[in-house]
Amino acid sequence: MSKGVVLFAFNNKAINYVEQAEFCAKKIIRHLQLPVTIVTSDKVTNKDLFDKIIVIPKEENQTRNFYDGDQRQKAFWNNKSRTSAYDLSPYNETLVMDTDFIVENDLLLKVFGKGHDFLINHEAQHLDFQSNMTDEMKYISDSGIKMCWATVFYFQKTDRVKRLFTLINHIKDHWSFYRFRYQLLQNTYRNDFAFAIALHILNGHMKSDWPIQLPIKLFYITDRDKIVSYKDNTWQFKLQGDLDCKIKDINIHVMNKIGLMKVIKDE
Amino acid sequence: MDNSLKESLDHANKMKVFNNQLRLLKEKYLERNIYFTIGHQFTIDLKLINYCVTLKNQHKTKDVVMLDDYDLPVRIADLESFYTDILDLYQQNLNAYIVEYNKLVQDKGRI
Repeated sequence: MSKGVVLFAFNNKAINYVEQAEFCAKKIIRHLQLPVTIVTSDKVTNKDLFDKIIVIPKEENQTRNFYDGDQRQKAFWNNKSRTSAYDLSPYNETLVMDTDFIVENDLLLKVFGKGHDFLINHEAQHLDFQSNMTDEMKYISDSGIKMCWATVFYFQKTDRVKRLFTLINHIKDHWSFYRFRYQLLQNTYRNDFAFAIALHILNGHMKSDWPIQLPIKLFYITDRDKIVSYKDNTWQFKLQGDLDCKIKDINIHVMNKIGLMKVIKDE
Repeated sequence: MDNSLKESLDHANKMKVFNNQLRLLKEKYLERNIYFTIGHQFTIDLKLINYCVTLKNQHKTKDVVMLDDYDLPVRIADLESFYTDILDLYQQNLNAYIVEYNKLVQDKGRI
């Protein structure tokens, strides 16, 4: 059974996602020793890092704000191709990751060959345990279903997972309806919500034990938290509320993409 | 603000950082105690270990049915090997935990 990681990277004027993917791939190769495929519409400089480069067209039809602490930039957000992961992945067993998810240990290797067909996190944890953000993001809306984090997920090519992706694509194509039906406040299409809705539907609109979570805790910092330094695999952050925080050997979702770009440039 | 109050508040800030780091360390090692097998997840804790010991003491080591983290039943073909795997992982993680914990406590003054 082939196994590997798929990364989606579409540059915009604020973020060079391909450079992020290269940084991310180096981490994957170091800690997981898995082949990495990049799906992009942009030029890839360090081709050697990738097992395969899949070129698809860019869909520039929605924008969002990107923050680095207090500084803001508005740019296109090309996040819709993630739903093609099932069709695009060249592997039987695939991990899909955001390019700003930084692998710092080998815990994700536990997912392979253990009989699971789909694994995803329903919970994420901010590095500041006092932050109320962790509680606020447990559900997709105030009266809604449980949240789902498409930041990193694992799948095997099975009939059930194929049906799941078909449903996710349908939700993406009819986003205005599902956004309204599931009482989401924001207009912007977000994979986390589409995955959560699709899983809810596929489980018969009921709470279910499928899929279970990945064997990792999904730690994150937001784009309002600042990266102070990154050296010798140790990250130092100044979190909102001025809390100093240092981590080593912990996987981290760095939502401050602009801050992450600065770290990559200094590497 | 007088000096003694400032010292107290500085100390409080240091403790906030320390306590957050301690919580992160705890979560880091809890995360490592997750064991995946045949499509099921087990979090290794004393309860699971003791249950295995009880079964072993009663010589029930083949085709044992257990409940996973989601209360789903799993048939474990070879309890001996399951027990060895989880205990090894648990011990390995505890050893790493104590090393990092001692370092964190030692560094507390410098945080």
